[in-house]
Amino acid sequence: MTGPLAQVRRSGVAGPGCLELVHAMLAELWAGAPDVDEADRMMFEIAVVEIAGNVVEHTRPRPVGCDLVLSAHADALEATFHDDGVDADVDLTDTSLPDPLAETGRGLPMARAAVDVLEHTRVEGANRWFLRRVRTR
Amino acid sequence: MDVEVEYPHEGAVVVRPAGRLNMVAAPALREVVDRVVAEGRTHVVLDLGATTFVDSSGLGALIAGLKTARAAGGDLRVAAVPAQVLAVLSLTNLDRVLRPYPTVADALA
Repeated sequence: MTGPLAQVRRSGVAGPGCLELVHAMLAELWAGAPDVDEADRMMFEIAVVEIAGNVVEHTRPRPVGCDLVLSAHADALEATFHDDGVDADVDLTDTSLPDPLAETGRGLPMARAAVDVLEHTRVEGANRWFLRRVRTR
Repeated sequence: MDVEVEYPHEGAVVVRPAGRLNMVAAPALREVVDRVVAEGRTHVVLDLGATTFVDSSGLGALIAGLKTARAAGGDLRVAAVPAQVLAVLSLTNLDRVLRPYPTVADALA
Protein backbone atom coordinates (compact mmCIF):
# COMPACT_ATOMS: atom_id res chain seq x y z
CA MET A 1 0.00 0.00 0.00
CA THR A 2 1.39 3.35 -1.01
CA GLY A 3 1.26 6.44 1.16
CA PRO A 4 -0.61 9.66 0.42
CA LEU A 5 0.37 11.84 -2.53
CA ALA A 6 0.34 14.81 -0.18
CA GLN A 7 -0.34 15.30 3.50
CA VAL A 8 -0.65 18.37 5.73
CA ARG A 9 -0.91 18.31 9.52
CA ARG A 10 -1.35 21.04 12.13
CA SER A 11 -2.10 21.02 15.85
CA GLY A 12 -3.11 23.90 18.09
CA VAL A 13 -5.78 25.61 20.12
CA ALA A 14 -9.04 25.87 18.21
CA GLY A 15 -10.67 29.27 17.67
CA PRO A 16 -12.42 31.27 14.93
CA GLY A 17 -9.05 32.19 13.44
CA CYS A 18 -8.46 28.50 12.74
CA LEU A 19 -10.81 28.63 9.78
CA GLU A 20 -8.28 30.69 7.82
CA LEU A 21 -5.62 28.20 8.82
CA VAL A 22 -7.75 25.32 7.51
CA HIS A 23 -8.12 27.10 4.16
CA ALA A 24 -4.35 27.61 4.09
CA MET A 25 -3.80 23.92 4.88
CA LEU A 26 -6.08 22.95 2.01
CA ALA A 27 -4.17 25.27 -0.36
CA GLU A 28 -0.98 23.56 0.77
CA LEU A 29 -2.55 20.15 0.14
CA TRP A 30 -3.59 21.10 -3.41
CA ALA A 31 -0.11 22.46 -4.09
CA GLY A 32 1.23 19.02 -3.20
CA ALA A 33 -1.41 17.19 -5.23
CA PRO A 34 -2.08 19.46 -8.22
CA ASP A 35 -4.00 16.87 -10.25
CA VAL A 36 -6.98 16.75 -7.86
CA ASP A 37 -10.14 17.67 -9.75
CA GLU A 38 -11.56 21.15 -9.06
CA ALA A 39 -15.00 19.82 -8.05
CA ASP A 40 -13.41 17.33 -5.64
CA ARG A 41 -11.39 20.15 -4.07
CA MET A 42 -14.47 22.31 -3.69
CA MET A 43 -16.65 19.63 -2.09
CA PHE A 44 -13.89 18.44 0.23
CA GLU A 45 -13.18 22.02 1.32
CA ILE A 46 -16.88 22.65 2.03
CA ALA A 47 -17.04 19.56 4.28
CA VAL A 48 -13.71 20.13 6.06
CA VAL A 49 -14.53 23.77 6.84
CA GLU A 50 -17.96 22.81 8.21
CA ILE A 51 -16.41 20.29 10.59
CA ALA A 52 -13.75 22.82 11.59
CA GLY A 53 -16.58 25.24 12.34
CA ASN A 54 -18.28 22.61 14.48
CA VAL A 55 -15.06 22.12 16.46
CA VAL A 56 -14.72 25.89 16.93
CA GLU A 57 -18.33 26.16 18.13
CA HIS A 58 -17.50 23.76 20.93
CA THR A 59 -14.55 25.75 22.28
CA ARG A 60 -16.51 26.95 25.28
CA PRO A 61 -16.35 26.80 28.27
CA ARG A 62 -12.65 26.03 27.98
CA PRO A 63 -9.96 26.13 25.26
CA VAL A 64 -9.95 23.13 22.97
CA GLY A 65 -6.88 21.52 21.49
CA CYS A 66 -7.29 20.28 17.94
CA ASP A 67 -5.23 18.22 15.53
CA LEU A 68 -6.06 18.07 11.82
CA VAL A 69 -4.54 15.81 9.19
CA LEU A 70 -5.43 16.32 5.52
CA SER A 71 -4.37 13.70 2.98
CA ALA A 72 -4.66 13.41 -0.79
CA HIS A 73 -4.47 9.83 -2.01
CA ALA A 74 -4.62 8.52 -5.57
CA ASP A 75 -8.25 7.51 -5.09
CA ALA A 76 -9.58 9.69 -2.28
CA LEU A 77 -9.21 12.78 -0.11
CA GLU A 78 -9.26 12.31 3.66
CA ALA A 79 -9.41 14.52 6.74
CA THR A 80 -9.12 13.49 10.37
CA PHE A 81 -9.81 15.86 13.25
CA HIS A 82 -9.08 15.09 16.90
CA ASP A 83 -10.19 17.59 19.52
CA ASP A 84 -10.47 17.42 23.30
CA GLY A 85 -13.58 19.60 23.52
CA VAL A 86 -16.94 18.60 24.95
CA ASP A 87 -18.78 15.78 23.20
CA ALA A 88 -19.98 17.15 19.87
CA ASP A 89 -23.07 14.99 20.48
CA VAL A 90 -24.16 14.77 16.85
CA ASP A 91 -26.55 12.37 15.16
CA LEU A 92 -25.10 11.66 11.74
CA THR A 93 -27.89 9.21 10.97
CA ASP A 94 -30.20 12.22 10.60
CA THR A 95 -28.62 14.91 8.45
CA SER A 96 -31.84 16.18 6.92
CA LEU A 97 -31.94 19.82 5.93
CA PRO A 98 -33.78 22.32 8.13
CA ASP A 99 -36.67 24.51 7.00
CA PRO A 100 -35.61 26.64 3.99
CA LEU A 101 -35.88 29.83 6.05
CA ALA A 102 -33.99 28.46 9.06
CA GLU A 103 -30.77 30.36 9.78
CA THR A 104 -28.87 27.44 11.33
CA GLY A 105 -28.66 23.67 11.07
CA ARG A 106 -27.13 23.26 7.61
CA GLY A 107 -23.51 22.57 8.54
CA LEU A 108 -23.62 18.82 9.05
CA PRO A 109 -26.07 18.16 6.19
CA MET A 110 -23.77 20.10 3.87
CA ALA A 111 -20.69 18.25 5.07
CA ARG A 112 -22.49 14.91 4.78
CA ALA A 113 -23.59 15.68 1.23
CA ALA A 114 -20.15 16.84 0.11
CA VAL A 115 -18.19 13.70 1.06
CA ASP A 116 -18.70 9.94 0.85
CA VAL A 117 -17.84 9.19 4.46
CA LEU A 118 -18.49 11.39 7.51
CA GLU A 119 -17.92 9.78 10.89
CA HIS A 120 -17.83 11.11 14.43
CA THR A 121 -16.66 9.02 17.36
CA ARG A 122 -15.99 9.90 20.97
CA VAL A 123 -12.82 8.20 22.17
CA GLU A 124 -11.23 8.69 25.58
CA GLY A 125 -12.60 12.18 26.10
CA ALA A 126 -11.88 13.36 22.57
CA ASN A 127 -13.92 13.89 19.44
CA ARG A 128 -12.66 12.18 16.31
CA TRP A 129 -14.05 13.25 12.95
CA PHE A 130 -13.17 11.36 9.78
CA LEU A 131 -14.07 12.55 6.29
CA ARG A 132 -13.40 10.81 3.01
CA ARG A 133 -14.30 11.85 -0.50
CA VAL A 134 -13.67 9.41 -3.33
CA ARG A 135 -11.98 11.24 -6.19
CA THR A 136 -13.95 11.41 -9.41
CA ARG A 137 -10.80 10.80 -11.45
CA MET B 1 -14.15 40.34 4.96
CA ASP B 2 -14.93 43.77 3.53
CA VAL B 3 -18.51 44.77 2.73
CA GLU B 4 -19.04 47.54 0.17
CA VAL B 5 -22.42 49.20 -0.25
CA GLU B 6 -23.71 51.04 -3.30
CA TYR B 7 -27.04 52.82 -3.80
CA PRO B 8 -28.01 52.49 -7.49
CA HIS B 9 -31.47 54.03 -7.16
CA GLU B 10 -34.22 54.89 -4.69
CA GLY B 11 -35.15 51.95 -2.49
CA ALA B 12 -32.39 49.68 -3.80
CA VAL B 13 -28.98 48.74 -2.52
CA VAL B 14 -26.13 46.61 -3.80
CA VAL B 15 -24.07 44.94 -1.07
CA ARG B 16 -20.70 43.44 -1.99
CA PRO B 17 -19.17 41.10 0.60
CA ALA B 18 -15.60 40.35 -0.48
CA GLY B 19 -13.62 37.35 0.73
CA ARG B 20 -14.86 34.46 2.84
CA LEU B 21 -18.35 34.64 4.28
CA ASN B 22 -18.04 32.38 7.32
CA MET B 23 -18.84 32.38 11.04
CA VAL B 24 -16.35 35.21 11.54
CA ALA B 25 -17.69 37.44 8.77
CA ALA B 26 -21.41 36.59 8.78
CA PRO B 27 -22.39 38.97 11.63
CA ALA B 28 -20.96 41.95 9.69
CA LEU B 29 -23.08 41.15 6.64
CA ARG B 30 -26.17 40.75 8.80
CA GLU B 31 -25.54 44.17 10.35
CA VAL B 32 -25.16 45.83 6.95
CA VAL B 33 -28.38 44.32 5.60
CA ASP B 34 -30.27 45.22 8.79
CA ARG B 35 -29.02 48.81 8.53
CA VAL B 36 -29.81 49.41 4.85
CA VAL B 37 -33.28 47.86 5.15
CA ALA B 38 -33.97 49.98 8.25
CA GLU B 39 -33.04 53.01 6.09
CA GLY B 40 -35.80 52.04 3.67
CA ARG B 41 -33.74 50.30 1.01
CA THR B 42 -35.64 47.05 0.85
CA HIS B 43 -34.61 45.87 -2.62
CA VAL B 44 -31.29 44.30 -1.62
CA VAL B 45 -28.93 42.81 -4.18
CA LEU B 46 -25.99 40.84 -2.88
CA ASP B 47 -23.20 40.96 -5.45
CA LEU B 48 -21.24 37.80 -4.63
CA GLY B 49 -18.72 38.23 -7.44
CA ALA B 50 -15.89 38.77 -4.96
CA THR B 51 -17.10 36.27 -2.35
CA THR B 52 -14.59 33.46 -2.41
CA PHE B 53 -16.21 31.00 0.01
CA VAL B 54 -19.50 30.62 1.86
CA ASP B 55 -20.08 28.19 4.72
CA SER B 56 -23.26 27.34 6.63
CA SER B 57 -22.89 30.45 8.81
CA GLY B 58 -22.70 32.53 5.66
CA LEU B 59 -25.83 30.85 4.32
CA GLY B 60 -27.51 31.71 7.61
CA ALA B 61 -26.63 35.37 7.04
CA LEU B 62 -28.11 35.24 3.52
CA ILE B 63 -31.35 33.75 4.84
CA ALA B 64 -31.47 36.28 7.69
CA GLY B 65 -31.07 39.07 5.13
CA LEU B 66 -33.77 37.60 2.93
CA LYS B 67 -36.20 37.48 5.84
CA THR B 68 -35.31 41.04 6.92
CA ALA B 69 -35.88 42.40 3.40
CA ARG B 70 -39.14 40.51 2.93
CA ALA B 71 -40.45 41.57 6.33
CA ALA B 72 -39.99 45.17 5.16
CA GLY B 73 -41.90 44.49 1.96
CA GLY B 74 -38.83 44.02 -0.23
CA ASP B 75 -36.62 41.20 -1.40
CA LEU B 76 -33.02 40.02 -1.32
CA ARG B 77 -31.44 38.64 -4.48
CA VAL B 78 -28.03 37.11 -5.08
CA ALA B 79 -26.08 37.94 -8.24
CA ALA B 80 -22.78 37.02 -9.91
CA VAL B 81 -22.64 33.89 -7.80
CA PRO B 82 -19.32 31.99 -7.99
CA ALA B 83 -19.10 28.21 -8.41
CA GLN B 84 -18.44 27.45 -4.74
CA VAL B 85 -21.44 29.47 -3.62
CA LEU B 86 -23.64 27.84 -6.27
CA ALA B 87 -22.45 24.49 -4.89
CA VAL B 88 -23.47 25.25 -1.29
CA LEU B 89 -26.80 26.70 -2.43
CA SER B 90 -27.42 23.52 -4.40
CA LEU B 91 -26.29 21.16 -1.61
CA THR B 92 -28.77 22.81 0.75
CA ASN B 93 -31.59 23.31 -1.82
CA LEU B 94 -31.41 27.02 -1.10
CA ASP B 95 -31.08 27.75 -4.81
CA ARG B 96 -34.89 27.42 -4.79
CA VAL B 97 -35.23 30.18 -2.19
CA LEU B 98 -32.31 32.36 -3.32
CA ARG B 99 -32.47 32.03 -7.08
CA PRO B 100 -29.12 33.17 -8.47
CA TYR B 101 -29.19 36.07 -10.94
CA PRO B 102 -26.44 36.19 -13.58
CA THR B 103 -25.59 39.85 -13.05
CA VAL B 104 -26.27 42.70 -10.64
CA ALA B 105 -28.22 44.47 -13.39
CA ASP B 106 -30.50 41.44 -13.77
CA ALA B 107 -31.09 41.35 -10.02
CA LEU B 108 -31.88 45.07 -9.90
CA ALA B 109 -34.41 44.82 -12.74
